[in-house]
Amino acid sequence: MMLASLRERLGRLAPPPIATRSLRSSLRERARLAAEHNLCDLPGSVVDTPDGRLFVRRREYPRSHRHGMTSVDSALRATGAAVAALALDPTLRGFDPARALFLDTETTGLAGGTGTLPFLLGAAWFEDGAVVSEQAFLREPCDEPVALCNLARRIASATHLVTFNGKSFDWPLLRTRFVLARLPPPAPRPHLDLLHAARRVYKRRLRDCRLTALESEVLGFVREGDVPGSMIPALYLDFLASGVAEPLAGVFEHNAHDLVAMVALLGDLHAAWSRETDRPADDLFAMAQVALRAHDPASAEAFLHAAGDHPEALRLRAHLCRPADPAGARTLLERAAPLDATGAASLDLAKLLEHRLRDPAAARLHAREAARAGAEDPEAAARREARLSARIGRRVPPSVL
Amino acid sequence: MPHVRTVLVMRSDVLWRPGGLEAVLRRWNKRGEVRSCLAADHVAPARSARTAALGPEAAAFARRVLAARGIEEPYSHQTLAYSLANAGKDVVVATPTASGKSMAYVLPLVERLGADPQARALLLFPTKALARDQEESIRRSLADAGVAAGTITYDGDTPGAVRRTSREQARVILTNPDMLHSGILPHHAAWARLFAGLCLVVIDELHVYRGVFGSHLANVLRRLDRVTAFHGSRPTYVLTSATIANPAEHASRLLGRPVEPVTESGAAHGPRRFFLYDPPVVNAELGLRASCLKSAVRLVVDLVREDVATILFVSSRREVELGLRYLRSRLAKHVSKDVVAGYRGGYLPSERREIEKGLREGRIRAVVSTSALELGIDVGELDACVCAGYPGTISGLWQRSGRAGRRLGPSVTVLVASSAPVDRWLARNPEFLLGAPVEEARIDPDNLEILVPHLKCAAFELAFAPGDRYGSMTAADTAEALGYLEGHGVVHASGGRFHWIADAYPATHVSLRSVGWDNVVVIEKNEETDEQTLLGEIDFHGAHTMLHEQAIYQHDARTFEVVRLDLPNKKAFVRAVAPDYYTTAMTATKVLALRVSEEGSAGGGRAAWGDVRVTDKVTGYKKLKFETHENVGYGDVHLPDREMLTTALWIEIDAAEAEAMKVARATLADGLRGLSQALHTVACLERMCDPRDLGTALEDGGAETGPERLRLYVYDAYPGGIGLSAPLFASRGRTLDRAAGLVRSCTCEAGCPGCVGPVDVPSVPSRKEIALQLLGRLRAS
Repeated sequence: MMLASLRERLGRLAPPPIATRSLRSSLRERARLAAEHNLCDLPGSVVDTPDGRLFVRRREYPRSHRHGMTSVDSALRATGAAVAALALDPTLRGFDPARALFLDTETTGLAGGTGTLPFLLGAAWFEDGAVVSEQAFLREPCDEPVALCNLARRIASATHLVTFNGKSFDWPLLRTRFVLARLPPPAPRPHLDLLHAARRVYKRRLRDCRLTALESEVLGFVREGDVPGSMIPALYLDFLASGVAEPLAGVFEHNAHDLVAMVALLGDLHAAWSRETDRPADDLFAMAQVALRAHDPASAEAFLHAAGDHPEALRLRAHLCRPADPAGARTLLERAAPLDATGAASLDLAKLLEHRLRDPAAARLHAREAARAGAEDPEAAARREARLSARIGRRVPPSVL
Repeated sequence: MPHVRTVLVMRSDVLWRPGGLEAVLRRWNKRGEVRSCLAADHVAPARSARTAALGPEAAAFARRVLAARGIEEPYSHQTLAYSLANAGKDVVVATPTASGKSMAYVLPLVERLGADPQARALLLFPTKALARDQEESIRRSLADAGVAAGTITYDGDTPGAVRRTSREQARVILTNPDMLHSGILPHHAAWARLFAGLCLVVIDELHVYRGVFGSHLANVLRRLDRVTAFHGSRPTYVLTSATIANPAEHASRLLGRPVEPVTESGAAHGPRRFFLYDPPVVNAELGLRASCLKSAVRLVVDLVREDVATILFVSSRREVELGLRYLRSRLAKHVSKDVVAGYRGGYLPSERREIEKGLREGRIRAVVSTSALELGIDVGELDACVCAGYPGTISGLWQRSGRAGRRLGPSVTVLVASSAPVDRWLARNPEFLLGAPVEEARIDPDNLEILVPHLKCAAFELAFAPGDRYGSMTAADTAEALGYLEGHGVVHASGGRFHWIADAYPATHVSLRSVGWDNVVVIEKNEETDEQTLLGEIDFHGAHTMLHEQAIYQHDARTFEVVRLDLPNKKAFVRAVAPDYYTTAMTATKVLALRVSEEGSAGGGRAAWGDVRVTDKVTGYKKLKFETHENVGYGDVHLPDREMLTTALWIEIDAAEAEAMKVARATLADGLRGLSQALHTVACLERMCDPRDLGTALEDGGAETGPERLRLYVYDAYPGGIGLSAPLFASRGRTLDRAAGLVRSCTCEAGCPGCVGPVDVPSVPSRKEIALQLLGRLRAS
């Protein structure tokens, strides 16, 4: 393949906006020089690390700092037991917030795969009760190995990782980057992914469990002028092409908010779990379900009790006490039935009365209530009706069917 | 020893002992109505097996696999392939169908994986079905060898949980090129263990990777080379191919380095008889002959009644169903219905496995299949192969023929000529089949339209360091091409390296095949119970012609009517019906020029290339009665046209040429059609592409040209075009010269498949003559 002919043929394929190679390299050089100059538009500075020079922004949030209504130091109270239960992950029993590393990256793409570059590596941790954040920024893609080594040191000195959706996104991506840079990937740490924990607790209330949604709905913090995540890749690509750095300041801010929000969310989740603050019945019911999955029936019982007249909570309580105390279960379900528009509580009650308390007449009353509310499909309801009627010893009036 | 079976069949209350192939041949020979139709009768003599012991370097693993299968010594080609692969040489095994090609890679596979517990292997198959087919047999071989190695088929259907295990634990990955391209290479860091330990890459059915598809695969392999080098491995490649003219050259172009050929099959086979059967004339006035399919069915009935295991190849999925239906009804008195099976794409994988097993075990004595069974699916040994119609290529015919053939006993292949022009011509010139060389496989991996998208994928996968080369390009050319990508803002040079920097996943924008392979599922809906049953799957392309509403869909000889086709959700709902007719869709292809990129003269005519729209339209359907195939009605089809924007070369001549040449306009058009066939043949040679990569169309007095002109299109059969048209335009003078040379030097009289296409009824002046005259005008300066 002749060089000239290749260039010509490439040009015919789809002419690039910037045609010649020399123009491209001079533009590239100009952008690089401009970038160096424009870095002063960004918070942070170039520092020396053991592996080379790196553009870093360091920030400290005093222990009294509040993100919305939640103070950051509330996260320090998070216990291993609570975290392990919320995450349904026993390896987190030794969780120690004071030695955990909060991690969040901004990248050139959301598609994943080896071609996605994390260009802003945000980390945060506690130091003497205050939160310290460190954001390492790639002035150019070739800064990446220094930033990865720096991050590896941070991870090495922590015992646990905390991320939001990091199990499926940030962590695999970082592992890939270490492999591609031929650096040893950091040893895995027990990893708390707050997305999953928060979704378990808040899914009944919030349809959207993205970090910004949790931040505004749960933490009471509303970001102003936040850069939408979908715009972030393009901002970095523009910076590389033009050297104009100023628009990236918003990305630094976005990433810093994410880091602090994670700290605050951990505090909030722990407060919810330990019932330090009053919570809506929906959350309490959701936490009871988590507690049951975490094999902690005592906590489940406590959450359900606190949920009061929440129909599903009452049904779950009845379900739990039914083996030992069917009469108690009946009382709970009788409380739930009028509150439950789905008819599920009536159906539970009908089953309890039929099979456990041997009261077909009462069972049929509730079964009919359940059928009216459409708690089960008509055929099943008809079978139930017929069976109960047979037990009562009377034929079913056809009108009921 | 002839093959003796002990199956006894009841017939008219008399015990009837089937007489096998010899009896059938005797009967055909005796019966005038068969004998008179045999246009060719050729015998290939039996060959005894040549075996060779594995060399002393072979460890226990390969020997255990052989022992488990009761093989003392493998065939010579298997041993040669094994020893070359074991010595780290890339090798291509190109031997006939059913010569035991898979053993040629299974032996080195167990050997390598047994010797090194970290070693891994990657096996590429052209279709998902083939990979799934081989999975079991490879597992068994590994178990026989005593090698503990997880084997997994990784494709679009692999569930999420298994995917993770595949990446981390499996040592043998079976997949297809599309998945390697879009699902594995772009995530190679997650597959680090596979790539670090990769010692063997198997590419099965190499002959399938021709033309554009092959050029894509060559680029995927260039990327694979970069990735394996990064992870520190240099795997050996074992490629297997059906017989093609140039296996070593083709494999070397695909891998970009020399490959050792193994082409001498050591497999034994009994004597093989080949017939060409030309169905009898049933209406001398109209020159009508008996139906090709029904004639073929009749021959198969003769064979099955004498208990000869037979495969009937037909050209479409619809013909599979018709053939199956006719066979079952004609054999109903003699054998149970389960003895005859259909086999085609669209049957569920479990159904297909069951049929394959039935064939291997001898329970199924006849199978009607599309080309689906041409590929290396193990169906055991069959005695007879009947092809209803010429498959289009010599290599295709021999691949089908290879399906029949036992190691010891005799076998027979019958090609039943259809009414297609090429078949008519072959019926008159059967010696062509026996003398013609098999086709070559050609690829052009350096076609920039193909190379550049893969270069993007390569940059996405690994940054390019200074001095890196891609494929056959020099370091300087590679840098130039990367600079071009930088100009488009998708890579960024930093610290001397080119990094991928766009928010995009480039592999999703590159499809290795011209057509998507998303399937439409066929669901039977019981109208009373609303119960839904999955019947099968049809590819998206076939859905337009087989699953339009009111179409009669046939599956395993049962008939269904399509009630609703939900194309966006890729579902077709059908209900069981019992009509006396089936349907066949009518399609039309139209090409419309949208933009001229360049134009110029072609002798006395005009030529241009540019963007075109190729429209495939299902215009309606016909209802044809079963058995008689008479037309009993029409229906409308309301489906969106399938449109493809692509590029084309076109050549235009004035209709006035007809007057100058003193022929009718229709004769001129026919000559131009002949010219287009010759041009197509030469263009494929020049562009190193497969015949299917280029389409041709003739517009006689179309909307753009006005009534006074005819226009001939040669278009890229790929959405968006694939870079074939522009160079064809640039070299049109030479291409037309070569086309003229091809036609002139052809020894046929009026036209044949090798030049301007076969002609059934020679005209004066002949198509060949008109084409030559036209070529003369288009070449005159």
